[in-house]
This record gives sequence, C-alpha cells and structure tokens, in this order.
Amino acid sequence: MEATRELYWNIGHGAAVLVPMYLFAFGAIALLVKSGWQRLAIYRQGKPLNRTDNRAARISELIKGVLLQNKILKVKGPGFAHGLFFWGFLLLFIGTCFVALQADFLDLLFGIKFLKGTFYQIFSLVLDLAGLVAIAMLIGLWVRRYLVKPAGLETGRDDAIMHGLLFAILITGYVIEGARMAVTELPNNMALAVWSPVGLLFAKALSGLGEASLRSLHQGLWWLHFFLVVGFIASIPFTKFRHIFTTAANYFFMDLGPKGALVTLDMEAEGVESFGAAQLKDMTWKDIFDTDACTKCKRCQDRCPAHNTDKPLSPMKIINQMNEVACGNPEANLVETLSKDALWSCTTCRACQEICPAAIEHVNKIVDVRRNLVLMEGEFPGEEVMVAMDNAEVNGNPLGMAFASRGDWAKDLPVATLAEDAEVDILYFVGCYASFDKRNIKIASNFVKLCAAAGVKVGILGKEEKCCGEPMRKLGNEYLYQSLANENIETIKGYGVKKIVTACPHCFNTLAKDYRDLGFDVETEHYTTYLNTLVQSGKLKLKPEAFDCTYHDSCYIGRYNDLYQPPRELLAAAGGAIREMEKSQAESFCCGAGGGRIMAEEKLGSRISEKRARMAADTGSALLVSNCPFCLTMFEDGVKGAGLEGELTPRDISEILIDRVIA
Amino acid sequence: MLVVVCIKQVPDTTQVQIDPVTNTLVREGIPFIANPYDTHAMEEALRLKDEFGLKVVAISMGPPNAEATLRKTLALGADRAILLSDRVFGGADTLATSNVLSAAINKLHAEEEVALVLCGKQTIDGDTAQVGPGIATRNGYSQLTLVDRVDNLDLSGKRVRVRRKLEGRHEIVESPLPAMLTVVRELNRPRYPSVPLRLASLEREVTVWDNSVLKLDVNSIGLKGSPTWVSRIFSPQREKGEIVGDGAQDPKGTARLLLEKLRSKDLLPV
Ligand code: SF4
Ligand code: SF4
Repeated sequence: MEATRELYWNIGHGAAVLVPMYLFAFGAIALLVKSGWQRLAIYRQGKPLNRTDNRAARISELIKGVLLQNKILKVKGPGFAHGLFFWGFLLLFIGTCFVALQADFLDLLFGIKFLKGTFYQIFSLVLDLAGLVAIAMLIGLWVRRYLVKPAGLETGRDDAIMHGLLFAILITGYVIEGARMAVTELPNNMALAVWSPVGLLFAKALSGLGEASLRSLHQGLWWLHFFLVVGFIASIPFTKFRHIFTTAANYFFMDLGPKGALVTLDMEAEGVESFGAAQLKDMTWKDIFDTDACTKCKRCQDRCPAHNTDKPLSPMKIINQMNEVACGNPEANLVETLSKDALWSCTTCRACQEICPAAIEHVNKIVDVRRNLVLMEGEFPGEEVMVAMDNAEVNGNPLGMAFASRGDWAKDLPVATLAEDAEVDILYFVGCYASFDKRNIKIASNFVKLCAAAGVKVGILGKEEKCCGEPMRKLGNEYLYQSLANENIETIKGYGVKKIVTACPHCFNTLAKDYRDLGFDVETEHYTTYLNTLVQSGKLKLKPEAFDCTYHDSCYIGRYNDLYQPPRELLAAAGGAIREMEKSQAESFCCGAGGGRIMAEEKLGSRISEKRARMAADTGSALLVSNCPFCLTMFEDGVKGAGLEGELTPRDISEILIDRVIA
Repeated sequence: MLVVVCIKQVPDTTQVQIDPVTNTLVREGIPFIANPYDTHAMEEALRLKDEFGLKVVAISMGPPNAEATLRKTLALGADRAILLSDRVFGGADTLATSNVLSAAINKLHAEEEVALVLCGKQTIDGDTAQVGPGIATRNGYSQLTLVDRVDNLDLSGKRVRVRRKLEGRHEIVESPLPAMLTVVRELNRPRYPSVPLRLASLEREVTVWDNSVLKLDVNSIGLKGSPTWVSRIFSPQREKGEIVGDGAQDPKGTARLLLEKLRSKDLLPV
C-alpha cells in the first residue's frame, strides 16, 4: 500500500467546508492587506529616501535576514530559540500550503496527487519534528519571558496573545493528528504511523476514547485550529506579529552603507528654512518604518553604554516613543517626547544599530533631532559645549588653543609642514587631541618616529589643519562641521596630497567617509592598518618583547569600520598576548567620548569610562591598549575614577610599538 | 525705541604674547573675536528685544575687518549693524573712541529714540573700562556700570532698575532713560546663532559710517584726539617661588620656617 493519507479526513471536502473555510481565510488575509495598506499612510508622513536601489544586494539581505535568520542568531540563547521556532513554523506553513495545493487545486482540478509514497513519509516526518521543535522553542521563550524575566524586557498584551495563539495552534495540530491517527493508522497502518512519531504518541494517548468521540474531537479541534490560524493572520497588523512583515521588509530597505554615514545637509538649499528633525515629518519614511519593525527585543538597550551607566537613554525606548508619535500623535515635538537628556546622552557608539535584529537605524535619528536643537535653537548639552563650539569656530579646535600653535608639537621631530615641503609619502592628519593635549602629543610624535623608522616621509598641515569637525557633527552642528570640513578639504586639495593617515578613528571615519559627500576623495587610512601593513611587509621592523594586555576596540575603528584584526595583528607582532574583555570587537563597550561627548561633562549617571576600565581590569591584565586619542583620554580619567591606578595603565598602540621598533 | 550695543573686535587674548623688542602685542596668528563682555551686552539687548520689542543696533569702531564681528551680531538677531570706520578714527584712546561712539549714538537717536546703550564692563585687550562711562558722560545718559541683572525696564515711564555687582555686595539702582549700562558676565548666557539667521546675516548689510557721515572735528578723534600715550607694554615677570621645608614629613617645623620667611620679608608683623 502506497504511503499517503486522506486529506480532509473526517471533515469533508464539499462546498459546505471549502466555501466557509476559504471565505474566512481570505477574509483574514484581506484584513491583513487592508491594515497594511492603511499603515502605509503612517510611513508616508516621512520625507522621501531611496531604499530600493541596488536590488540584488537588498534581496540577498532579505534572504539572509529572514531565511537564514542571520541577525537574530548573533545573540545565542533567545536568538537560536527564535531561529529554530521560525524554521519549524515555516516548515509547518509550507506543509499546510502543500496540503491545500494538492487537495483544493491540483487533485480537485486535475487529479494530481503528490503527497504520497516516500515523499509523503519524509513530509510527515519533517512536519512532525518541526512542530516539536517549534513547541520546545516556544516553551523556552515563554519560560525566559514569564519566569526568568530578564531585566528590561517589556512584556505586555501582545506577548500574551502571541505566545497563546502560537502555542494553541501547535498543540491543536498535534491533537488533531493524534485523533486522526488513532482512528486510521494506529489500528491498521503502523508502518506509516511511525513517520509521525509525535503524532503517534498523541494517537496512543487518545486511543482509549473510541472512534465516535475521536471523530467528534477531531472535527471540533480541526475547526478550532483553523479559526486560531485565521485569528493569527488577522492579528498580525494589530500585534508585534507585525514584525513578520515589517522586519522582513526592513532587511530589504536596509542601509547598505557606507556604514554609519549621516545625511549631509545642504545648508544653502533654496527655500529650506528648517534643519534637523523637530517633528516626525522632518524624518524620512524609513525612519518611521524602522519604528514599526522593532520587536522590543531590548538587545540595543542591553548594549547601550548610556543606558548601562544610568543615563536616561534607551535606544529601544527612542524607537518605541517615535512609533507612538507616528501612530498616535504625529504633530508631537520630538525633543519633548524623547527628552533632551536622552538625546544628548548618546555617544553614537553604534552598539545598538550593530546588534539590532530588525536592521533599525538608531544613530541618525538621534543626530537628526540634535541637529534641530543645535541648528535651529542654538542649544547644547551644556555651557562647556557651546564654548568648545565657539573655540572650534575661532581657533579650529574645541580646546581653545591658538590655531597658530597647532604644529608646535612637531618642532623637534623629523616632519615638516606641507607649506614647507609638499613632496611627501603621506599626509599625517594629526587631529586636535594629538596636536594639543599633552598626553596625546606623545602619540603624534610616536607615529612620526615610527614612520621615520620605516623610511616613510611624513608631512603635516601644521597651523593650516583644522578640527575634522566630527564631534561637532555628531552633536548636531552640521553647519560648523561643514565649514571646518570645507576648509580642510580646500587646504588638502591645494597640496595635491595622495594619501592621508590619521591616528584618530574619528578623523579617520570623517575624512574617509563623511568628507566624500563634500567632494573629497583622497585615500585615507587609520594608523593601525597603515602601520600593520608596514610591519607585515617588513618595512617597519619590530623587536617583539612578550607582554600581556587587554585591547579595547574603539567604536569608530571597530563597529564603524570593521577593523578588528589589524590592531590585534600589530599587538601580536610586538609580542602582545591579548586577554580579551567580555565585551570586545563588535560588542565592545564605548569609552564614553563619542558623539561629541568628549566636549561635554558627563553629569548624568555614572561614568562610562570607569565602567569600561573595570571591565578591562577584570581580565587580570595590567595594560589597557587602545587606538584612539579620545579613548586614551577617557581611560586616563576612568582608571583614576575607578580607583585602578597602579593596577591598570592605559596605553596607545603606538606607545607599545615605539618601545620595540628597530630604527 | 533702540537699544544700542557697543562691540569691540579684540584679539583672542588667551594666547596673546608681547613682543619683547617692540613692546607691542603680537597679533600674528591670533584670531579676532568679539570682546567677551560685549557678547553679554549683546545677549541682554536681544533679550530686551524679545521682551519689549526694542530694536537692536550693534555698533563698533574699528578697521574694515571688524565687519566680521558685526556680522555675527546680525546672525544673533541684531536689527542693524554699523561699523564706524575711517583712517582718521585710527590710533584712538578711550577718550577719542567715546567721542566717535557718542556721535554715532546721537546720530541714531536723531532717527529713533535711544532707550539704552549697552557695553561690556571692559575689553579684554585694553581693560580700561572707560569707553562706556565716556559715552554716558558725553551724551548725558544715566551711567549704570557693572550690571549683573536688569530688574525692570519701564519704557513708558522711562525708567530702568538694575542690580550692580560690586565687591562683596550688590546695589539696586533705578535711574531715568536713556541710560548706559556696562555689564558683567553673570548677567546672562549668550545664545548660539541659529543657522537660518546666520545664513540670512551673510546677505545682510553692515552699514559703514566714516567721518564724512559723523563730521567730527579731526582734533577730537583718532590719534590726534588721544591724550593717552603708551610708553611700554609688558608682562610682569613673576619671580620663581621656592619650596620651604617638607610639609609632609615635618608640618610643624615647616610652618615655623614659613612664618620666619614671611616675617623676614615684612609680610607679617613680627
Ligand atoms: S530597536 Fe532593534 S534591538 Fe532595539 S528593541 Fe527594537 S528590534 Fe530590538
Ligand atoms: S549609539 Fe550607543 S550610546 Fe547611542 S543609543 Fe546606540 S548604544 Fe546607546
């Protein structure tokens, strides 16, 4: 006997079943489509933005995100549970479609049957196990949410509906199968029954009921199961089930890079009278769509350095508050809704965005509202920041040092300004901290000496260099950023520079990416990759000396540019053994200085730098190596603040290298 | 009614050095800024504009490049900016400067009534604190210096009440308008220009008045009208200090040493 089963067994396959069934099914789908359609109006409140270019890449992101669950799986535990549940449920969905396809179309119209023989056996087994996996994962997720209750996880009406519906659908599925098998396969087709092992268990458990009761149980539950599914479809637009569509679509609409790029405002555009986002309509449709794709998984919040040091910022909350505005109160003032303290607390570290399984873009939204505060209202997180802005405007650096003394650090070093000699291998774009800050001047001079040892001729701009504008930009001062950037661009272009190296990740990211929008195209590298290439090619010779350290991935070399290995290779070449911190690479915890926060006092909550210093000390290493002048400055303070003086010493990579270079 | 703000463009003096040979300020490589005290005067004028609808006029006497500083006042919200610039104004001391500014304010007054003139308490390059009072004297205005709070401005009754910040005490003074106020930093926190105003300021005009407009006697202005002569500018050299004893090891003995030292220098009664 060929393996197969009678579809619609005990239910009937006449108009009395099919008509109401399809009416309800299509009714639910129609409701879904109609609600989705209405929701488009919410997204349309935003400004236009092209996110349908580069389709091939977008489709590939969609497939990776949905079918491979690549983003969800970045977090183990709940990520795997979601992934397995999804695959299980997806298989059951496909299986149900197969049944409908054969019974209601191919067989009905053309007499074609494909659910038979070996295929049917495998089909049965796969679906049977898929359901088991889905139920197990669902229980796991339920235990996590309702019993373990991880801190910060918000549980509400949606979660109850979703867990309840899914569980009921899966369980009724098995009971229906069990009832059918107890009547059909259990008495006379065990050979087939074994292909549905879980169903068989249910069948055995139910077998004592007698055929009549089994049949009425089966029929009742079959319709219940059906209506649960109808309810599931109909509830999608009204619950977090929405993410099935919105999150999936968000993978397609994803920001394809360059990573972390902000929109460069056209400050002189005709007729533009307002800058930045005061209201939702000042943002793009994608910003609004993002808020609808959030699943409140809190992964962003868990990683936010501001949130973790008791500051009133949660990236999840920002997204959710914006969603409430979009759906209920589109005229609301975003600054009031999100709160200034929250907005100013962001270090633009990108930890939220990097981990978000829904590909939501948090940072640009925060900067967009900051832009409105700064450009329209002239507001800053504090008096000291306004002073720093003024300093940058007058003297080209936020520190208030005379612009003419910018090159003074290099007086006795083997480096000239381009004004003196423009024939150089590289331009070293020094940045403000390495130019003026005592601690960081060492880094500048180390870099110049390392280049000299490798036979590289370095030039600097000296007093012609201005702040790259990054801290100003991230705090929302696009105007000042552009004026500083344009001055730098003009100066650098004037010298016909071919290659730039920076020692500051912020300068690097800004010159290498942000300046592109302003017509700048000189190749730019960070010193870690540059020196690493020199070491690997043998031009820069080191005498390795074993040492033990921990390494801090700065946000702008790490998450913003995915440069995790070159600095580690450099340390290894110098003889370093790295004891990794628990939060490293893409999960690295910001030092607290990004997003322009370097210019602001940290008045709220506890100090981010101290928290990070403690994480470094926890590795047991006495050396905290980083690659950024801001990080170094923060850690010098953080180590003191955390009472770790003498136990932990912050160092820049260049300081490790200079001790081991062979001249 | 007008509130006139007097602004001076000064070198950013935190970095200024004195040329030991010529005894003059080295200005090379030093950017110009608005005199910081004047920015508080400007802010107060803008605040009064917001509250009472006064028109804000910023004036400055200086070389043509002082236009940049005046343009910033337009970016902040000044209604008008006037640069008093002429070769014959050059080399002025505080007397000659106040002559020019007074004349300009009188000319404005002839167009529209001046209620208040606001100045910073002093400039950071000259530090004389004389120009504001000079204007008040010449124009017969009430003179209220070192203001750290404007309590009341009664435009119809023509009176103003302010608080003055004096050494160790405050003084509340009321006087008739027009009045000249010099202001201290505690008065307010200057605002940051919004971009739309800033962009608009780039298109707006900074009026230039030279002596053909003011028609002052050349003997009362510029170098000729300046009785002050600077013989030398220098930074006083501070002698290096010395460390007396070892306070950590021997606090008592060190305190005794210190007392002896101070007495021997006649800094403490014996
Ligand atoms: S924004 Fe992203 S990471 Fe944060 S809660 Fe929403 S889905 Fe999760
Ligand atoms: S960028 Fe960093 S600081 Fe800002 S919200 Fe995201 S995680 Fe928090």
